[in-house]
Amino acid sequence: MAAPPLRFESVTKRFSDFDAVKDVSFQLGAGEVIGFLGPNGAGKSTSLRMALGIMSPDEGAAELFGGPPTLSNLRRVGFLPEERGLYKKMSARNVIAYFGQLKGMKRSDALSRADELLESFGLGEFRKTRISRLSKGMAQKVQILSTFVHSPEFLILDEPFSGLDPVNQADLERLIADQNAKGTTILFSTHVMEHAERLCDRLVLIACGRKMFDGTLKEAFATQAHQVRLATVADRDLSADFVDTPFDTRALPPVEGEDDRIWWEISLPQGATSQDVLKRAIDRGIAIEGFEPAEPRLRDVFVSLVSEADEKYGALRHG
Amino acid sequence: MGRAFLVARREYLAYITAWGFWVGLLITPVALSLGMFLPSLIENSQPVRYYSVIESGDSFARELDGYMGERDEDIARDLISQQANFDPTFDPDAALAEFERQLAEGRSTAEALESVVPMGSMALSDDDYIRVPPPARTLEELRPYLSGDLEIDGPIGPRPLYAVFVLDGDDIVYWSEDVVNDTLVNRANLVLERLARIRTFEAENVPLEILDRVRENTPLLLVRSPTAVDQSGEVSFADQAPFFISIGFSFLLWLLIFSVVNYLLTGTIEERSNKIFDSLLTSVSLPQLLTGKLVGVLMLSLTLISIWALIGTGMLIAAGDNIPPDIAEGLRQVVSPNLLVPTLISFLLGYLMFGSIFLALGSLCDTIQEAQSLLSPVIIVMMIPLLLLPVSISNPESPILHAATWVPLLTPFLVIVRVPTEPPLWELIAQIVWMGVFTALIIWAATKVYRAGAVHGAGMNEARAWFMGLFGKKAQA
Repeated sequence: MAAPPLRFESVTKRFSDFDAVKDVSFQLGAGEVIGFLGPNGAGKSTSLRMALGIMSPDEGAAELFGGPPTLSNLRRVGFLPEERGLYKKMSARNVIAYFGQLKGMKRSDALSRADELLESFGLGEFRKTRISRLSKGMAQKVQILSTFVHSPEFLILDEPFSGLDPVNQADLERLIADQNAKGTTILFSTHVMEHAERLCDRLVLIACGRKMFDGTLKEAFATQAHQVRLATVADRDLSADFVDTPFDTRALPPVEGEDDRIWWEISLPQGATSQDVLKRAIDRGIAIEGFEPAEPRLRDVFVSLVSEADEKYGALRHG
Repeated sequence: MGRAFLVARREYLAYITAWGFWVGLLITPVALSLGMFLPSLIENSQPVRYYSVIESGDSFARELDGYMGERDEDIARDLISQQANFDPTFDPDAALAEFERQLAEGRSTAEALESVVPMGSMALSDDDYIRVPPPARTLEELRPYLSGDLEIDGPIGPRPLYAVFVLDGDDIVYWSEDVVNDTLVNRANLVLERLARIRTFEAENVPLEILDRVRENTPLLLVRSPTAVDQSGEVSFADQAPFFISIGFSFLLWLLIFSVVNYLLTGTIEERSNKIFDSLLTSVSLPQLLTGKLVGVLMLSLTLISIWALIGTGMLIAAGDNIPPDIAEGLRQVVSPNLLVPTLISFLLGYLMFGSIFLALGSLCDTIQEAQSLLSPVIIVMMIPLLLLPVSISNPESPILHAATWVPLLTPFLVIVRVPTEPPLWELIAQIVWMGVFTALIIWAATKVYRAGAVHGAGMNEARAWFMGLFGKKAQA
């Protein structure tokens, strides 16, 4: 069985008395798209820099393709750092080819691949333009292309969407999907949940330097209590009807123009479905004026897990 | 090694294609030439100045005029004697005899010189001080002329009065607004000394011709050295050349190192401020990155040296047989292994030493402005060899120079200037080995700092905290 592109085994990194990353373990399967989520300062960039061998863990091990992150196995990796920049006096073509060469490509191959990438991303006419003369968005595209130039098996993208306008964000989403379709494993960090929802097979969420979640999107949603909204006639006390059930009920503020009915928010415990709520209401003879199952959002999962981490580990992070 | 080569290649191409490099390459020899000829240019470009003498007779004024003439004659005689150095077919004795004959016939110094050395009169001093009759006799009346409020008519039109000598009894007072330039004062002193000698001879009834005979009978002091190139031991330019060339090499080394290490500084600041480090460090190791940068800029400096050497060689070839033999012999010292080998080693180690320091400093700074504050102490150290070069000219065996050669940051520049004094071989080798060891230490420390700056984002605050920590203080936030 092939070694996983990335494996973290009880990785800890401290800066003085500050636990930037604490006992984090996870691993990636080949061909997956993994969202590496966490709030600012959670330890995402530090984790990625350890994955790439830029810095070493104080404890535990970060492995790339089954071994330590050496320049040899880093050739199979493309990396887009969070803080981006290029040599401003080099042309777009040369800068992409330079990074390709550093990853082991022949100069002629790197140059033709750079031309090909620039052409396919609408920057063909700017291939000989200096980076300093490109717009910020174009320069970011050039940097992204320089991470793909050597056709890596594994792409690590640190906050790839930050600083991009919506059009370029959509382009990048397409690019990530295309690369993944070719079999490339992709790990990207973000704190924008919509991108993760659209792109990821799996999520790893860290907060306060600790891993708080590792699983599929479905599993992430399952961590949250599902909710439904149900409307009854205005004088009905729904909480009395659900008092002996595991469902939590809460009356929502009255909606203007709907004086004859009231909306309730009902939280579903693990394993319960909206059908269970409907069944209970019918059994109790409640006249249902309205019913809306509410799908959980990744944002809610994120906020909930981050809050939990803050409560548990916030004070512990400084040793 | 391949990755280090790629980094070196990128660095080299980035600078070699920059117009600033070529401008610097061409300007440096021009600036150096200007520096060499500037003193004589300044001397020759002085404005003509009027001065007056107020005395009861005219003995001082006459002697001063005579001195100016004699001074030119002495310059002319020296020029004729040295002409054989530039033209092996020139007969200095015959030329001197012809020069004296023409002077005796009443021709001017310039005319007599031109007849034996064409264009020779250019070497004579310009008539930059012209004596004019005093426009007034009292200081109060002279004051507006001296201050430039009034001008005085003279051979080249109206001008302010530059200076005036007032002889009152035994006292001579020199008045001028210029309190710095003492050329005229020095000339007057020589004339006064001669006048005093004449008066003393007259008072003792000694004929004045004795003075001329004393001068004629003064034996010529011949300078000889047992190590001179010439078999007779006569000291020529060929013997002095190693000293001049070693000082030239040392200065060029200084100039070269500090021209190119700036590229390392600015390049590293660019990488830090443009956040390129993380992208690079997933493709090259830190030692490869450092090696590549150092080698790339080293190649740049070798290009610089090669082009300067080509220009120099071209000029020498163009000069061809016109180069006097002892100057040609002196220039051969440039390629002497005794000087060339220590120079090359010093260049390499000096470049690595200062290059690593500049790389490390650059990795801590986001802007050139930030770098300035860190660079100040390094620049002060860098200036010390320049201050010591004049000492090496006047006293190459100076104990201070000797001691300073053992200071590793100065060794690359000073070890070269000591080579012509032929220090013991063990000393030379020990200094080079010490320089090598120190360079290795600097590279080791610079790698640590570079890692802190490039990988961990350490910056000015951390540098300040570390520095304060040396003195047991905590840095202010």
